[in-house]
Amino acid sequence: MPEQVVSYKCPACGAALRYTTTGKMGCISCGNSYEVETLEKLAQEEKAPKGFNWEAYREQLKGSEEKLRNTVTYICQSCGAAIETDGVTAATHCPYCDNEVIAMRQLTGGLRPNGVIPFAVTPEDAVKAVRAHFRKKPLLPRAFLSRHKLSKVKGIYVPFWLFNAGVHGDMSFDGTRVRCYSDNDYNYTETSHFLVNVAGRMRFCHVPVDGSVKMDDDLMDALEPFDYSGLKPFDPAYLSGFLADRFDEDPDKSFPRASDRMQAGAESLLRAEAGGGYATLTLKRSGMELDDPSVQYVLLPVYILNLEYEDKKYRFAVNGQTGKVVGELPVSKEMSRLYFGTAAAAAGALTTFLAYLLLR
Amino acid sequence: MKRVFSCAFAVLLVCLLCLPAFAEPSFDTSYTRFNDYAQSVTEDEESELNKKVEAQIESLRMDFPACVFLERNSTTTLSEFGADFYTRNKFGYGEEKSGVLLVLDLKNAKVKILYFGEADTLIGEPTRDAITDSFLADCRDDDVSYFELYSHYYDTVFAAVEEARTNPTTTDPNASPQTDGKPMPAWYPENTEGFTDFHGEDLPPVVDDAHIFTEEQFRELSDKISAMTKRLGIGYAAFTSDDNHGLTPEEYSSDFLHFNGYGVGDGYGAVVFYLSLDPEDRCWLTTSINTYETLFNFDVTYEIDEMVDSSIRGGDYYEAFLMHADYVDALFSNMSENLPDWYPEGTRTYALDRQGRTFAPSPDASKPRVTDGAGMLSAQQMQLCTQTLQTLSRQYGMDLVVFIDSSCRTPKLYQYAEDFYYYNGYAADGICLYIVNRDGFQVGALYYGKAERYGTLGIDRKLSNSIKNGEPASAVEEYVELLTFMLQHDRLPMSWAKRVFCVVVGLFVGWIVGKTVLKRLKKRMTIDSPIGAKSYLLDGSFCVTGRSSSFLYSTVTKTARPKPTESGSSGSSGSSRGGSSYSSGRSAGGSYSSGGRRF
Repeated sequence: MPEQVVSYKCPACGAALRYTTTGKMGCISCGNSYEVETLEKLAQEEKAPKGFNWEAYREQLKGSEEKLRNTVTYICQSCGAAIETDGVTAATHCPYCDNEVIAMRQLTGGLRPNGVIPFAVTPEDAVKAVRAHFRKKPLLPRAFLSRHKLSKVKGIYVPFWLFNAGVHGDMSFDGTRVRCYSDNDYNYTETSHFLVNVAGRMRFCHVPVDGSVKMDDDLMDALEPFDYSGLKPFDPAYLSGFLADRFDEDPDKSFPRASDRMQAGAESLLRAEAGGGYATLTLKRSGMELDDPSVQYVLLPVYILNLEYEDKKYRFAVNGQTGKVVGELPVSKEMSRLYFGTAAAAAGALTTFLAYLLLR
Repeated sequence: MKRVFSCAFAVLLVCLLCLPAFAEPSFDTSYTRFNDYAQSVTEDEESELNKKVEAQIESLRMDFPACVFLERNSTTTLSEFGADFYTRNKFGYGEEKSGVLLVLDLKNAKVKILYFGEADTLIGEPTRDAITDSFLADCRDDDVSYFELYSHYYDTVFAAVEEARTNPTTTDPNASPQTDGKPMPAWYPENTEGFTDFHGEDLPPVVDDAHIFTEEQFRELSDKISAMTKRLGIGYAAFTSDDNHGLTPEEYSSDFLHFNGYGVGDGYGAVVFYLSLDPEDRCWLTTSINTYETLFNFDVTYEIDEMVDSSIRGGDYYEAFLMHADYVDALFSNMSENLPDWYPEGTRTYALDRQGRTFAPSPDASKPRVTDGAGMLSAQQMQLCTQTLQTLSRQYGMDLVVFIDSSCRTPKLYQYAEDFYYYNGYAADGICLYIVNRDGFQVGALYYGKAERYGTLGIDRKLSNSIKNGEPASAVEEYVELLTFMLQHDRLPMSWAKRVFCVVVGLFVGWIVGKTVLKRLKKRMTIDSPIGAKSYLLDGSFCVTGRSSSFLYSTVTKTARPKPTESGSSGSSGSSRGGSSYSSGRSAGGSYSSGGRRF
């Protein structure tokens, strides 16, 4: 059974509307622009949807997980074509008329995100940021840049979990203090060992973990930080003109990554508290517990650029809010030799000269 | 580029800000002043005491270190331990290294307060007694904590120094020592004020106050020493005692020489082999006074100590005294018989008869530049080297001399070379290269006056290869070449080994830097994921709910302190090696140098 989809059309001319970085929906045909709220009223969509709820989601998931993962067919509202997507696509383009298609099934009810950070960086600015990023990499092969057109950036709303939790715990260290003294015959080094205990509590907010299996975790982690003051209540209108996915990795699976990060952060803070006055501090025991965890389901703006070089695929991501570019780059052997040789020659010549001055 | 300029500016700024920190203080700050090895006070209290002392050092122009311990691995007396502790830790204020040192042995309940430099003259005996009495009274008071004890001690000492500076009363170094009622020996004068050395008559060669010799031993030793001193014309005696009368053995033995008039010649030089069987301080010493002090330096006394060590520790004192007399006999015989022509008539070697000698103001071009007593140089080599050295001597206004000899008449080679340079009347500015054959050719160089700045370059060490190969003639030629270069460039030419070393170091550092730069650049080509969630900490949510620290245990590791190595210079004071100690100072009778061991 084909699912119902939503796309925004210009109230004036009926052409497709796209979301612009000004925060409004713009018409590509007549140039008018509209507030999202206005369009929403006009569209008179379904009743105010409920936000994502972790517990409710767990209930909903029982026995229907497989269903959520199956392929789904949508009917394009512009040309009537049947569009088949995977079970997580929330916004896409119609391959026949290029009209934006938003799959409301993936974004309503228990699957509705709690918020969204809209794109603040235009695709052009994203490309510029990528170019600037490449220019700062002296080991990048020159051919890498010249062989590729960087215009094919895809704006995607990536599903993220924002975890909140309190952390309390205590740590024990073996702290040492060193004292040196001497007498007629010997130099003495006295090392005193102390059992150092420190306990504390704290709360972490908005620790992000991407909820998309398709996205590389390290790549998404490296995109941080996002400014969560720019987080808006979710509205499908923000997705217009971009691709979007529903999460396909549920919070129970993602939570351990956030938990590890919170515990590492807590340990770092407590170690700093314990460290004063000790020459060394060796961890003996650490016990951290998380309490009152909660999660928000949000869509965060990311531009993705896929490039291929010497039979290897390279994926780059641009933070759609801040313009930060991340991604692994190929290393040129020639440039590596050049930089190694230059640095080694300069340092070697200087050292030789200084050694000569010193020893002559 | 902007970053480079910023870094350079930052470095410059840091250097400028740090300049005041390089202002040299008048005291060494490497070690803490209050050293509580017995852990009688807490760390906070120790820190407070240190602050208290450091606050007073500059204002009172005096250092106030302290050493409190439970045990020590040393057989020396508290005074010797304290003096060594003070010197080794570079305590003391100003050039005189003035200071007051408290040494407290908590286990044996012994205390010693030592006065150094200006403190020794500034603080009189009554004040010293008052300081000691006050400290001992506090020690006896059970209500006084260790911190209060030390704190009060410092208050007392600070007040004493301040009072002494306000109303200076210098101690009389010539006053007779405090003997706690014990009678001093008959030869000790009532008042040592104004004492001057004199030539005693009919002096006993052996004074056995400890009564360790049998009659026969006493007679034989006396005969031996009498014959030796008469033959060589030297001041020498053997002395034993079981009571140092409150003095240090060094002071007591030197006073023995001074007050009995054992000194001979214009310089009143004399030496005594002293065996102290005082229960408080059992030791043997070779103590020399006046002109003999330079001869019986550390090297000589150490050699003697090594020689007599087993005999004395084995209880065979007589054998030790015989060996000592033989050693001194050989030493002086070698110095006075068959001396080269350039020794003035009637003189001995090294420093014994050189008192008051002054150098000529400028080099004399007519003086021989190369003296080859070993006949190692050909006439052509001799002429060539002489011409070059004469030219350089005139050009640089200093005497440049080469001295080659096949024997050495002094305990040390450099002493013989110094005699050569002095007695041949060379100038106050000059360099003397000496190559002397003693168990194979050995080389060294002496630097005088304005040439002293070349001393650190080690031109003589450059010749060691030629000398090792038994080619002193080629060593001289090499020396002349090196000397010419050194005088022109103020440095020596760099050896190939050093050049290769520079290149190897350069290659190594270059490789390290290159790899580091490459590693950093490669890191920029990868994904740098954040670790931890510190940046997501909710503001104000972090609080420490508990903190504790408890002492578990402590470990102490000890490493042996490096011992001083043998040097080519004349005797240094205050050093020790292999149990030998060597010191110089002033006793009631005058100056002395002394070396020996405790047993």
